[in-house]
Amino acid sequence: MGEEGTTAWLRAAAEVWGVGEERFAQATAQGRERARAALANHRATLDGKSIFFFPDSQLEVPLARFLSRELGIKPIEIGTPYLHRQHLAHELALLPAAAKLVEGQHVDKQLDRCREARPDMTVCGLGLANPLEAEGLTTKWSIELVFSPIQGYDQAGDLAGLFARPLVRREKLMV
Amino acid sequence: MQLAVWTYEGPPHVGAMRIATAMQGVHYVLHAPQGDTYADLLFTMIERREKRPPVTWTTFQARDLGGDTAELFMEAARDAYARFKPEAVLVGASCTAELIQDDPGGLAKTLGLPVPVVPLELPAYQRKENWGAAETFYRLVRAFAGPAQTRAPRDAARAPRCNILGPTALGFRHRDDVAEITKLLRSMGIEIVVAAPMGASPADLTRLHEADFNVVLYPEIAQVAAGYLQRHLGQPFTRIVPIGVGATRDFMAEVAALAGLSAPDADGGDALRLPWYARSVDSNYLTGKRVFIFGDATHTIAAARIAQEELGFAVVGLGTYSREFGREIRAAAEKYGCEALISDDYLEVEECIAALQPELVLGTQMERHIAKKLGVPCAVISAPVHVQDFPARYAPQMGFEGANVIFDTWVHPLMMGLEEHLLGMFREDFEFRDGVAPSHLGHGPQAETHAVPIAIGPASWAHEAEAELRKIPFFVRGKARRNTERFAEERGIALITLETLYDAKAHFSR
Repeated sequence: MGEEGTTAWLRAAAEVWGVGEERFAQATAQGRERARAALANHRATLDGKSIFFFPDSQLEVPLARFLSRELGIKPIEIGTPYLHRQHLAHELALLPAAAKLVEGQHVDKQLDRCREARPDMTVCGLGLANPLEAEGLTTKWSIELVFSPIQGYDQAGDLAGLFARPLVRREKLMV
Repeated sequence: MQLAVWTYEGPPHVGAMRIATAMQGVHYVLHAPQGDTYADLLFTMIERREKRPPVTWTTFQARDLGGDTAELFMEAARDAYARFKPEAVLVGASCTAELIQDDPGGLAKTLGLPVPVVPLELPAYQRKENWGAAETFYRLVRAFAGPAQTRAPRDAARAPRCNILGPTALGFRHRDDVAEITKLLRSMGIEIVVAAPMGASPADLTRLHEADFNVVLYPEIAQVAAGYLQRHLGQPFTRIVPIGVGATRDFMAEVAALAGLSAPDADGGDALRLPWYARSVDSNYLTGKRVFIFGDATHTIAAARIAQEELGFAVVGLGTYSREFGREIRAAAEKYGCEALISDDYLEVEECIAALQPELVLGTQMERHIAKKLGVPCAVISAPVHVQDFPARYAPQMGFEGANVIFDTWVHPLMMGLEEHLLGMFREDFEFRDGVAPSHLGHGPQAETHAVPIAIGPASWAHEAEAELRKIPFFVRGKARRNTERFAEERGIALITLETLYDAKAHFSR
């Protein structure tokens, strides 16, 4: 996910296949540039915003990595249904130290923490999204992230857009 | 055993959730594994509820199964009471948790909670959602209805009083039906004591006995509880569901009799538009339109009567997924001279629709999908529901306003009458070309194209007969083809000629 994630993923393959650094840079340069340009369009909306993840899509860790490193979003809590520390070792190393990482969840206790934290955006399942919106929190429906093509350089901007849209929408609505 | 990707009803604990969510002051502690919590989103997403359902899931995981899942349940029940302070607690197990046999009812009793605990035994492998809702409502009513009574005749000086039973969370238009029927009953001079489960608290259920009789809006949900109240408190209950003009009038007469009132003025007045709209000349083209109806038993039976008696359609097939009401559905089918389909297999329903080739399908969200696939217009009349079935506007199904809503909803998907004629007259014209969708619907049914081979029946089609069939407007072509093939088959005709086509047309003309 994102320019960095996509590059790291391609690099892992390139290393196995013995692709040289110069060839790799040449092959990825254009994609990286396009991803950076697309992300820049959303930075004004997203930079500095705080985010809180309820466990749902199983994509929470890489999403938090992407949002924090490429868009300046601050993860408060990253909840994920199952956490496999070995599989996600590369991702976990890139997460900001301040973020709380939790596996599974006691939903009522996590809701208490979320309400206390008042994040700018809450990523959660459909069971929680409308109730939290009704409480005035902005949410991102997490399963949409599983349905949408969000991987790779050319989808990096779309992925950022999925997070920007709820914030933009809240600004737009006047009633 | 059969695997399905789609189901008309959820497991019975979802029915219990519909009761708990509809009520105030009730909390449901549900022994269930982590994955079962998906049921929350039925309420928060489909119905756009602003609060989570009042359900605490124990969410045990595989690793808990080696330990003490019973203790997990007790802890969850204690926490839920402390956090939500309900007036009453429902306890039970989901279909998955039923297998570990922890006995939530027995466990909850040992907790000594300071409020009534109502245990639910919902056999998930024999029963389904509506049954679970009916059973849960019955258990709650039993727990709070108070001591048995024999009814004294009503003091003539006071107004008759009734309860409204049946509306739940996630019900098809329950919100607006309750408002419409409340208005109707009040206009008859009847007071409402309690409407339940929707909006009622356990304390409200203790006042059920104040009513003279009960109005059952949804037999699938409330008939069991109403039967209990009849035996226990001597309250009779209504059997007629007021969906459609005729049924609403009959319902008013039934209510008046139960309330000890004289025959009501059930004309409906100027606000009732269905009868005139159905008589107005533009509705002529609705005559004899072949409809297929499928849904829960209540809505299917009501829809069949409206279709036949109030809009002049012909009911060519009807069915339900509510097995508990199979007898009522069979009786209705017999009345309209068609086969009843009692099934919860949507593929069977699809086959039936494809075979009958109706001109309109009235069904659930599943039949909407099927009809879309088959290119047949469709209106939704029953749960299971979709986010679209919770419209922002007032849109009851019951009472006289409900009849108006139904007229619009069912007629809208059809090609307009004049438009049908124009298409027939100008079908060679580009604007009215064959296969065009109703002009007011951007993405209408997909009409068959010329590429579709026409001879699929037992008899084959002679070239000139086939060419003639193409000239028939597409929206009646399927019917003409089917009738002609049937005509040929019955007479042992192997090759359908121009003559056969016109003979069949004469034979079937009405």
